[in-house]
Amino acid sequence: MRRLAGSVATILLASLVIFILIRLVGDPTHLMLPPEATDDDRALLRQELGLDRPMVVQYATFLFDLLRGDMGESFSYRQPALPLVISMLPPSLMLAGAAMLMAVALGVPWGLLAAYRPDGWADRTGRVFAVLGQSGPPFFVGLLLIRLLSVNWRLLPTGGYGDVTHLVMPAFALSWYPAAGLLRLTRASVGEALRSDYMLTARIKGVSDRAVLLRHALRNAALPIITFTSSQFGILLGSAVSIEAVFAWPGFGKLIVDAISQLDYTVVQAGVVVAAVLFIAINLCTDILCAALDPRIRLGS
Amino acid sequence: MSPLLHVEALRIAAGPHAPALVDGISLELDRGKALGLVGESGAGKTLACLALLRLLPEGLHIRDGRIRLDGQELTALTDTEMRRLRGGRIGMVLQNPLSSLNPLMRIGDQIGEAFAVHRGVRGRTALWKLAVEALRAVRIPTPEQRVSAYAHQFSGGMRQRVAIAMNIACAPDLLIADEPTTALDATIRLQVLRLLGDIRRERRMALILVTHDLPMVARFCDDVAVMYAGRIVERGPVEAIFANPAHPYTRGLIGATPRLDGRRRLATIAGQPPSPGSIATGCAFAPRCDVADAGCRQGRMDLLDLGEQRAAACRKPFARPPAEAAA
Repeated sequence: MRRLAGSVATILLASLVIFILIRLVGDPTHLMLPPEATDDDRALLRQELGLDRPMVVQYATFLFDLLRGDMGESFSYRQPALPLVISMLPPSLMLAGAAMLMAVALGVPWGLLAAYRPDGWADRTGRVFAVLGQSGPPFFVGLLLIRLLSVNWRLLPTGGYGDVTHLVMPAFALSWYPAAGLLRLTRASVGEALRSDYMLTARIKGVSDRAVLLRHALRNAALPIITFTSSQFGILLGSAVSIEAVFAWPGFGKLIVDAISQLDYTVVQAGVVVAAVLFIAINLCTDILCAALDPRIRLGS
Repeated sequence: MSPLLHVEALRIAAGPHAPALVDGISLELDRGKALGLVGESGAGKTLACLALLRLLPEGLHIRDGRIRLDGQELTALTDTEMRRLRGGRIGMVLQNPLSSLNPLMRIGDQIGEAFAVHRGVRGRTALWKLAVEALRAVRIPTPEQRVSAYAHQFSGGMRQRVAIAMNIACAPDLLIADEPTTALDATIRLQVLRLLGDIRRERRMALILVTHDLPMVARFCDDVAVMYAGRIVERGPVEAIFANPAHPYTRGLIGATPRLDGRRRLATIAGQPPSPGSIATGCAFAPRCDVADAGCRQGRMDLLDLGEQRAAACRKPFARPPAEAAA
């Protein structure tokens, strides 16, 4: 219950901040009307959009409409802002989800092998990958992939939104960075678990090396990995903008960036509220998962 | 009758040319007997114990020596054979009971794991039933309820009982307890030690008690081995050694133990134990010794048989400093 109140407060605060910020940036009527329009024309439009009223009144109206699920109409697209934003979510979620899946599939087993045999081949190659992954910008990786896979080898389409073949490259380019992070984190936390007393105790009991690794170490190392993954997922949704641009992927990030440059107040506001709800939902899922894994953070115990 | 555990000239080092961290120690322990292994931190007590299980930390190896358990040479066993021995015939309780239990596994599952590995028991119901019995053996109240609890739901003393239960579950011949009470409250220490003593007697299990606590050794052990800088400097029956220590280091340790009657000043041993590799020649204790002479700084001192099952690595056993001898 306290959590719920906190979540609502977070959403309200985020919406308030963006509400004020976007109004400080500029007046959208300059962009909406042709340059030869007079001040009177703009005043009329402002009045029509309700932008002439005091900001407090505007915000109150916004909140009141929000309760009914109405976030106003987009200035530039001339359609309701909320459905517009939500319609852009599935491609973005799909992209971020696929990227995260690839990152986990790549980073976690690799990190596990690296921790199991320090200075072994997995550890050495992993160190190189960790540096490359965390220093190479995703859009650059994306461009390299297009050059190789699409232009040279003609295996995959250069961009666009469609089936799996369209998804593979942008998702892989995007997964590069979190994969490197996951590799390092997995190596560190599994390594720490392996050196712990309870691992020694398990070995003293006569448990085999493989069982020790999978039953004792991985489970204990899972908590930081899960927390990291979920925080990266949120960041991926936002940082996907450059990848969406490179691969012409119609996504949430591009919509918001366009909306900001066009001072499309309602779309920006709707986007921020939706993003905040999404973040809170992801965090809640993470906490539930962690509590399921770790009895020490379960409520009431 | 041959002893249960026979360690001969055990040497542990990082590499062939690295200094030895445990330098040629020899031990014997009979079935059902308790040996106190004492010495300062870094003397190699824990390493020596881990070597018995062949679980030395990454990078350290047994360089030399023999370890025989019931006539079986442990250094010659394959990894799989050794694994069967761990938890099956040798158990080891670590110092900190909180960190030595897995925080994410129910106690029943952790104890059950031992039965699954060594007895081939399958299924949670069967394993938990055995785990309840193991908890009952270490006198944990209402074991039927506690079996499903997690480590953080136990108090320190109870946690150490759980760790003991886990290690004696498969009735080992030898239990190593590495400072089992150091992390516990003073009031709980005695309870845990009594428990260890009782289990040892009931099951005729041999016990190696690693500790700094000399009165504890005097009370719960039959024999004592004193380690200094990776070597055993004195060993023998507890009463004889406590009554009349042969090695100056043993004498120093006993002198540094507070006594209730408070009749004499608490003595200290001056200086620091040497770091591995810094010992050039001669007795490692010579720089701190109050009876050492020029001869002690040359040549190497091996354990010398003193009769009455006692041995000490000292050129001048039973020697007292002039001031004390005059008093």
